[in-house]
Parts: sequence; C-alpha cells; structure tokens
Amino acid sequence: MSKRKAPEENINSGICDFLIELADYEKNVNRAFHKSNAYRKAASSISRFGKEIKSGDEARKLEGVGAKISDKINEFLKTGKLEKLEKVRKDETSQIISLFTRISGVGPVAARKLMELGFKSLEDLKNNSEKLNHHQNIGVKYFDDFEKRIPREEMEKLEGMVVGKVTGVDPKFVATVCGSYRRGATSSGDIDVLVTHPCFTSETKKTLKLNEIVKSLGSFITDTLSMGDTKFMGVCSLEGTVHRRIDIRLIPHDQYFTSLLYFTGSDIFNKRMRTFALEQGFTINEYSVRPQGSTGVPGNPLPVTSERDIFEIIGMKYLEPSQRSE
Amino acid sequence: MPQIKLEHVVSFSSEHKEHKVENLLKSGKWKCAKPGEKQSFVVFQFKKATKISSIDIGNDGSAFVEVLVCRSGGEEKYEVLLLASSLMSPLESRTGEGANRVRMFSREKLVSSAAEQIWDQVKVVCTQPFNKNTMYGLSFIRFNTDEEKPEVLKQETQEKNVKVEITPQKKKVAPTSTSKAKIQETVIKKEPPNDTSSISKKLAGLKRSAEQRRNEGTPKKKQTLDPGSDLKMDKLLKDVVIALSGYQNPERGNIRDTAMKMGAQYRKDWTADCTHLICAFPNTPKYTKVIKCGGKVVKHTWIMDCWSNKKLMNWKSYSLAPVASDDEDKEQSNSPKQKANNVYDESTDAEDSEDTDAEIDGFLKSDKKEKGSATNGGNVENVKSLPNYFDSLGFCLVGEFSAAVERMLRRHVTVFGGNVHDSIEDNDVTHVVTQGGWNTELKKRLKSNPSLQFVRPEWVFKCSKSASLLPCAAYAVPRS
Repeated sequence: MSKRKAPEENINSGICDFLIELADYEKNVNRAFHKSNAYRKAASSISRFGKEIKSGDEARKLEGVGAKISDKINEFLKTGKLEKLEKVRKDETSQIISLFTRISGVGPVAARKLMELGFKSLEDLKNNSEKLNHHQNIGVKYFDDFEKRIPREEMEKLEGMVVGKVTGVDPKFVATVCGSYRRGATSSGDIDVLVTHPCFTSETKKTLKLNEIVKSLGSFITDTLSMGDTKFMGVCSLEGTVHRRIDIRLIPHDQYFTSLLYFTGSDIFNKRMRTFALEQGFTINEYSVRPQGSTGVPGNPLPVTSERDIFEIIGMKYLEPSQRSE
Repeated sequence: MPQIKLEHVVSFSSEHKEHKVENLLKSGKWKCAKPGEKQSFVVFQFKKATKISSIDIGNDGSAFVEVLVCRSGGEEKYEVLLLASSLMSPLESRTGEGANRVRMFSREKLVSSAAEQIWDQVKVVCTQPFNKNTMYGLSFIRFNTDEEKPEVLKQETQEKNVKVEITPQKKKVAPTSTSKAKIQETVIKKEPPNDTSSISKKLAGLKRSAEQRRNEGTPKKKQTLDPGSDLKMDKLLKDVVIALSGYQNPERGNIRDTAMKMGAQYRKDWTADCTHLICAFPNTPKYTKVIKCGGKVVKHTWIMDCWSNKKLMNWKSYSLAPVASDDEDKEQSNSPKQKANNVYDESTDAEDSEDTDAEIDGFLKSDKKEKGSATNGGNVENVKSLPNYFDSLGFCLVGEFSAAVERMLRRHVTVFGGNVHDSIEDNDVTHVVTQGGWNTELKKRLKSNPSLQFVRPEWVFKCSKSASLLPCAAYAVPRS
C-alpha cells in the first residue's frame, strides 16, 4: 500500500481529511491498525456519500460510522476543529513519528526507534545515515520528490517507457501498470508494474531474469532499493526530472490475474471483495482464488484467465478498474 | 494399482430417488435429492485401514470435490486428503457442458501428511455453487492403494496354489469318489477371480456338501436328515455372513460371538456379501433394506439353535419375513415349464435335505440378486422376466457330479429354457456337460453328431451369471 494516498476531493473533504489524519495517527504513532482501518473505512463511506453531511447522526447511518466517529463529526461541524486532533498535532512525539513515517522505508516501528534515538528532523537523519539502512537513506535523499504526486500525464509516459522496454527484451512479456493509475486516478503516488510471461508459471518455476528487465530500463532507473528474484524496488526518473518510486514484480502467469486484481486495488475494495468471496465460499489472495473446503481448509487454486473470471467465480458483478475505488 | 474395496456407505447428505448413493458401491451414479443443495457428501467405510495412493473421480455435475479421511472409532476428526478441487468451471456448470469429466488425482495431488497414513473412512464432499437448478453428484469414485497385498489378492493367490496342486490329478483319471471334492474345488475356482467373494461362498458351500457325502458315504440322492452333525462346530456357519439389527449389547455381542464361533463372518452393516440379517423385530431400517434386496432375515434364535443343536437349522423356520413368497416353495404350481420342473422336483424331493436346500436357496438368491429377477420358472409372475438363453438347447450330464452341482446344473439349465436329457444318445442333445476327461464314448458321440459341444459345468454357471449365451470355447472339455 502506498504511503501517499491521493487526497480525495469531495463535498465532505473536511470530515474525510480529519478522519484520515486520525487514521494515520493511530497507525503510525499508536500502531493501532484496527482503529486506523476503522477511521479509513468511515472516511471512505463518507467520501462516497455524495451529499453534504450536516450532522453526526446523518453520518451514522453510513457503513463504518459508529457512535464515537459520529460524535467527532458533530464536534468538527460545530467548532470547525477536533480537540483530540489539536492535541495530537501539538504533541512532539507524534509530530516526529508522523514525519518519519512519511519517509520511504520507514514504518511506525522504525519511526519510533529513530525518535527514541533522539532524531527530530530529516536533517538529523541525513547526518546520521549510518543509523539508517540503504532504503531509508534513499527515502531521506528523495524525501521531497517522493512526496510529490505523479500527474497522470507523466504516468502515461512512464508506462509507455516501461512497457516498451520490457517487451523489447521478449515480446511475449506482458507489463501492466497497476495501482490507482489503472483505476483512472488523475495522479498517483508511485509506479507499480506487474510483469508476466506465458512460459513462467508457478509450476515451472523457471526463473526469468528480473535483473535483465531492470537492466533494459537503463538509466531510467536511478537507484535500487532492493532486488529479488521476483520483486524489484527502486527509484526512477524520466529525463532527469523528479525521482519516483517504482516497483516491478514478476508474476507467474497463472497468478497474474489475481495479482492484477490485488495490485489494482483499491485496498478497501479488495477487502470488500474478499469478504464477499468468503461469504460465497471462496478465498482470494494475490496468488489465487480457491474454494473453501467443508472444514475451512482452502482448496486447490482455480484456473483463472482474466480478472473477469475471478468476479464470475465468486458471483460478483464485474467492475472495471475505474469502478474499484471504494 | 489395486482398488480399495468400499465396504458400505456410512452416511450421506441426500440422494436422488433414482441415483441412490449405494450406486457408488457398484457402478452407478449418485446425485443429491434436490437442486441447489449447498453441499452434498457421502461417507464410505473401507474394509480395513488402508493407505490411499490415488483417487479417480468421475463427475456428474459437481463444480468442486473434496475428500476427507478419518479413522472410525477414534475422535472421528476429518483430515483433508484432497483439497477442494475444480471439476467444472462456472460457465460449464451453467451450460452443463463437460459435466461428466473424469479427474485422476495422483499421490502428488494429495495432501502428503494425510496420504502417508492409513485410514478406514473417507468423506467425499461435492458442491455446485454455480448452478442452483441442478442436482449434482458423482458418476464414480475409486480409491487406489499401492500397498502390497490387499486382502482380496491374497485369497486369490491361495486359491491358485490349490488349483495348481490338484490339476495333474484331474487330468490323469476320470473322477473317482475320493477325488471328487477336490475336483469340485477346481471347477469352481476356474471362474475368473473378479467375483471372488461370491465364488468362495459357493465354493464353501459345495465343498461342505461334498465333504458330508464323503464322510457319510451315502449314495448321491440320500442325504441324512442332520447333515451338520458330523461337521466341526467351527465350520457350521462357514458360508454364512451375518449382519445384526435391533439388538443391543450384551446380547448383540453374544449373538455375534456365537455365530463367529461357528465360522460365520460378521459385517457391521448389510453388505453385498451378507447372507443373513439377524434381526430382533421386523421393519427396522436394515430389515426393510435387506428384504428389498432379497436377503434372508432371521431371528437370533436361529444362531442359538444351531449352536445348541450342533447342527445347521433351516433358516426358514426362523425367518422374520414371510417365506411363503419364496418361489422355490411353489414349484408344484401349474408352470408352463412343468416338464422341466419335474426333473428338478424329483431330485429335490428325493433329497429332502434341509441343509442343502438352504444352501441352494442361498445360491439362487445370490444369483437372483445379481440378475435382479427371480430364478425359478415356477412362479408365473416371474416367467416373463426370465431370459431364455438356453432355449432350444439340449443338455446331457455325463460322468459323476456332486448332488449339489448336479442340482445346480439342472436348475440353471431348465430355468433358462434348456432341457436336460438323460441319455447322451438323444438327438436333441446339443451340449454335453462333464467334469471328466475326454474318452472314447464322447469321441463316438462326436462322430455321430459333429455339432455336439462338450463343456465344463462352469460354462452353465457363467452363462446364467451373465444372463447370456457365452461362447463355449473357454470352457470346452480338452480333447486329448
């Protein structure tokens, strides 16, 4: 999941923003992931509501909004601010942790650790690079660049560039840029590329050379964060402009469509779809869709030749990527 | 790779009225009762705990199949042996295309932790979430093992050995009274091994009657009224396979032990090889089932009386169901085949042996079950359903036969439309049945009637078993 979620423009942006801020706070500072998800879920259903919310009670009718969140909405609507949030914003610890978690490669745990080491600013981190790993150092180095959204126009150029180079290695390669870009977003936080090859399946385990693919991209790739057999994480830059985070994954052909679904998201949509699938007796993850056995043991992966197949198996109406935002 | 025998169905979710779950034990399909059932399952019992090395599944409309295993009597906790696997895609499920696909799951496809162990119960779970308007199930399921010697095979090899031993004897001379018993064994054993259980049952029966006669030294048609008295007690019920219904322990255990002491075999549930159901009162579920498939249902006093009298009692006197319906008892009725029946009746009347009668009943019963129709021409209702594949054929029995074999032959021949002639000179004779070797008399007959066939008795039994006229060649008397 990308750290840089696009701020969602809607009629209830004020409410959504403060809920997202609370969500980030719970996740990064308190490491309370469930609380965080609850705020995000509420924000998501409010952003889909379409009408202006005038009271907490009105919001409460929406999925994921309970008593406490509706109280907070009331408070926000009445006073224009939230006391809890004001406190959080003033608290130095949470300020530092929030800042550090914005760095690529730094999560809630690392952020707290760095704070406990006494670091308070990006400057401190730059001067103590030995305390950071390779990924985190690059995250600090490109901090400002990585904070910048990637306009769709640039994404299209990046896509053309990557797909062209990859299919240049072998025309049978299929490369797709996933994430919010595939859902039609006007801007994206990073670039997520899935690559597959018909000869590469989970059974053949014939290791295609991911580094060959990366090499073919040439100077487009400026830094490597990590490189495995199937996953590359790095930094790219189109014609020496802003540096962008890029992930390239090599996916076995038989898992390609479940991966495509997973990495296209959104994460909230994925959760919804998985819950639905479970109700229908199937379990979906990024690798496969499997029938649930009578004792709950998942069965053998079902053959899937398109994203549409997955929707069909679980009995859900097919949704185009652009319809999968929530 | 040997197939594991499915003893019986322990449980199931539902069954279609035409496609019963029992079909899977034979060779028919099973479907659930109503369309759109969420899940349907069947639990099978193996004869003994066995390692499963592969599974073959024939589908009939199921989208998924899963196989679980357990050991009965323990905690009965099922483990997954075959993960839920696809048999049909959603599209196929809706169109019904490819509904009868067969999938074979080899050892590598099974969950290895479960495939390493031995199990005696399997649960097969089918689902069809893609089509709520169809009744789904399986057309067959086979479990295979690569264990060295499954029980059935062992029996076969033993029998083969016996056969090898006595073959020379048989070839050398025409049967004498002392070697007769052994020859009977040979005769029966020469039948193909695939229906070992019924063969060995027949074998046991014949062997016993031969033994009796040898011991008693009585002429062919005069058996004593208490033939069992000379037998060892532990063999009294040797060809009897019982199941129990309606008895509780300790009585249940007592009946079972007594029966087994007399050599009977016990089955937890009524299986195809069962001969008698020992039943406390009529109309238990097992009772209904057994009556339906034509089995014998007796009170436990049969066992107890056999034990205390030290002889085999006529089961009919202990029958819970009305025995009068037995066609054998109505032979005297005005049958269109009166002439043929007379031949048979003579022998029956002359023999007046309850014991043998019961035996033959068992014989014919089992035959009847297999063919699904009555065997005797005496009952007018049944006449039309009998195939007449021996029609217009004339038979002559030459040489010596044991009483039981001779009677069986006469019965089978006449019941299926053939005639038995007393003289080989008769012009209507087309088939000469003999257990003996080639001799000058037969040679002479062949000269005067070149179309004459010389066959072994088992040919007759094989024909009636398959309900068709089989080629004689494989059962011909070797001409040396």
